[in-house]
Amino acid sequence: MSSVADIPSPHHRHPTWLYVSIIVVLVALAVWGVIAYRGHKQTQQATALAQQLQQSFEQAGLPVFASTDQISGVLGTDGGAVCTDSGKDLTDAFLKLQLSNGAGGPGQRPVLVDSEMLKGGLLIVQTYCPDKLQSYEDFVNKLKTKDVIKQ
Amino acid sequence: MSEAAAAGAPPAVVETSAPAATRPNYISWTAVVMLTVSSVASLRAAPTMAVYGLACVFLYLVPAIVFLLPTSLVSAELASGWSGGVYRWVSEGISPRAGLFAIWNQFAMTIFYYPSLLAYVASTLAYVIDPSLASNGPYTALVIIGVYWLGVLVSSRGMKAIASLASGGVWVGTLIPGTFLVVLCIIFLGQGNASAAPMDASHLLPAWTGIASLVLIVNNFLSYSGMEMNAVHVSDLRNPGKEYPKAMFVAMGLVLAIFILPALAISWVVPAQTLSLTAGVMQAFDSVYAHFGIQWLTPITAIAILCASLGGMLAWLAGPSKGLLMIGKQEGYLPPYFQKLNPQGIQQNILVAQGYVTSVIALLYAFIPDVSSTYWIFSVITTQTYLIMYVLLFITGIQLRRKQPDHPRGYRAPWLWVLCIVGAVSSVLAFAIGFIPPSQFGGGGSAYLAIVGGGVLIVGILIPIALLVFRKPSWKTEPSAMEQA
Repeated sequence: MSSVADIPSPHHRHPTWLYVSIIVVLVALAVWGVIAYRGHKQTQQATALAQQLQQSFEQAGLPVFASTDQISGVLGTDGGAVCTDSGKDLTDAFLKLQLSNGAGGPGQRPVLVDSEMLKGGLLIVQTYCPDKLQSYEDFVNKLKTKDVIKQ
Repeated sequence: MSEAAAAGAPPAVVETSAPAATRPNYISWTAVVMLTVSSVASLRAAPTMAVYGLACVFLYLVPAIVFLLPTSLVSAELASGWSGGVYRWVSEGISPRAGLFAIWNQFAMTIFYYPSLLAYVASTLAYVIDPSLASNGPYTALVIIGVYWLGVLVSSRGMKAIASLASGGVWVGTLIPGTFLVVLCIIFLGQGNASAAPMDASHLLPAWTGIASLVLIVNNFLSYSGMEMNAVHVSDLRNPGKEYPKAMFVAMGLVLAIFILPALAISWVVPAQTLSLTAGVMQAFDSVYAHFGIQWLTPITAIAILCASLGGMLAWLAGPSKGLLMIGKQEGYLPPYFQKLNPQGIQQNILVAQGYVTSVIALLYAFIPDVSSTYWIFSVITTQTYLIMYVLLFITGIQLRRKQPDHPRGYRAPWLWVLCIVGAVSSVLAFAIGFIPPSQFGGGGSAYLAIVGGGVLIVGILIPIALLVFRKPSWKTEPSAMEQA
């Protein structure tokens, strides 16, 4: 007796139009992204802030970047994504989702995180967007942390 | 005769291979590899695990031994002997009712997975277009709802399209950028730069701080959840008995490499404590690219990573819903509306119904702060229910070896009893650990126990019981060959 489980799915022709459409949309998005994404220019202010952050990291006993160029390229003068999103409900919610185990799929679930995971973000906010420091601290202080990272 | 067999369950894979002339349309075993990889692994968690430095290897390897290996090898044996995936195996090994619980808990897990996955897609896209969009409710809702329905539209084109797109997603969004990242990080070290994270022997193991470390290690078992999911497509293979086990072995190697190598590489170059957890992957790439002066690649990488997430979503859309359809038809658990297939043999009505639920959840997530701030709890509840499925799977492995030792199998897992016991104990341990409040929970342990326990009871137990209670014999249908998807 044949059954639902034993026979391969019908209609196995490759829908070429679908593949082409998807490729076109993705290429268009990539082009849009390249145009829209400016990155950060290496200005004097960006370099100064990067040096300040580097020092803060050293003082806090955190690992440091190989160069300040790397920091200024990512954080610029405005702190990049860390500062842009900080203190908003949806961002905090998403952050809570990301404080999780090492799953890259549906097995993602929260864990007890180390305060060190949040320390870097705190220093970035302090350096680049101190006006958001209070709300970031409020968020962090509500989290229970444990020392699970070996120093 | 088993209960399932008596109920008209399908015979074994190896016994029922139809002549090739009547089954011209197969997917390749490499497509199953890619479907499995896209279901389980991605670069998404790499920055989170990079924080642990060299210890991330331990944090992935131990769960691989006690969970990935048992899940993969037991699934390989079962899929090489019985078609249909989890619902069929558990139906044969325990009972059709247990089969319903298994497939329902696999399916239920996806309900809250899509919004969180697509919220990640929205955040990644926002990183290159306009980072402020990441906290914008309408934008997030639009991406979640729009991309989900696009996924339904794409998956309605049939299994071959899903397999091709999921494979493409893994190559474009995981393997190529992951390899590129690792190569760049090796070059970084080769240039004489010191590793940001210590790489000496004393950092091989994570810090031991009792229960918190146990929570971290045991929760990582779930990193490998989903390895069994694509067995539902085993009958789409030309020679399932041999090809599926081969696919599982290759997938295991790839999943391990995808999890471990990029996380380790990031820890060399980027002090992981500096990464925004909301834009972690993109910031990690951005930081590495900044060192090499190639930041223009960041938006291209973002789009590539989106491809991997979307491929993963397609794989999950096609898998558990198909299992639910199969048992729904066979045992009459689903009303006829949900049993309908489109001309391509896809369970479109189940996906559409799930789409309505996903759309409502997306709107609640995007616009109601109380929902979004507690959304992580749903991931706990659904992973807990998923673990029920794993316990049933491992019991089934033992039961089928005991009850049907001579049933033809294309692959026999070595030390099956040991694998099943280790896998079942790991699943129970992960289930127990799931009741320990994580960092996000501000209240007490008993409140958390009540919330998670109540959620598991409703989602994992009461709903499948309702399906059992309200099923109708008239809903049972013997699927036609065309419907057998």
